[in-house]
Amino acid sequence: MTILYFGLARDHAGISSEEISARESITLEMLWTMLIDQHPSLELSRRVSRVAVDMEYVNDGAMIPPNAEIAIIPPVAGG
Amino acid sequence: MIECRILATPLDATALIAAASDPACGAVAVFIGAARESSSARPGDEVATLEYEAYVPMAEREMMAIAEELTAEHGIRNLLVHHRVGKLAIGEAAVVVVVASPHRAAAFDACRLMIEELKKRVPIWKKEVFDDGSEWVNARP
Repeated sequence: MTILYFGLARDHAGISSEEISARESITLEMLWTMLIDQHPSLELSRRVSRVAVDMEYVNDGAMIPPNAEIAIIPPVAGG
Repeated sequence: MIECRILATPLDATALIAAASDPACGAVAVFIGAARESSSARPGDEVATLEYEAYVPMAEREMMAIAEELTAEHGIRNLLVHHRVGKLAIGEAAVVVVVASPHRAAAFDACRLMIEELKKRVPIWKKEVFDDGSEWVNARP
């Protein structure tokens, strides 16, 4: 799966995107745990961010398919 | 007609108004959001520039979803939204919303709701850049 980081989350991750290999679907909870393991500062993003899977916002219990595009979406500020 | 775009070039409000105008429409409402010199996060400090970024394909898709809801609900004929990304000088337009409808009430309502919903859910981020640092807008809990 591809992870995209934006705004404050990109600052916390220190990168704008990365590939994570997953053979099967994982929960959003598992994904956050993996990401925070790699980039501990992302814990701060987690408290305020939403997540989009294939360009749709998902909720806490979501399952994420192995080839999904995930975006970490800190509070938006368009306009 | 609905058109929702993220652009890295200066926005042309006049061109959008021309594109929205329609013989069936007696009302054209316009909202322009411009880069402001003052910051809510650092009152009293002057913003030097603003930097916008977007998750472009999702941002265009979310704007489209909002625009489609509003045109259906309010009987809107034409709704166009252009949002800029990249580095903006103070005073430059960050977003332009143009709504054309037969009568003014629907045009005003849809124009306002378009920008309010955009601010809530469209994945666009804004960084205020000061002489001595920068701040992502709305990012701190």
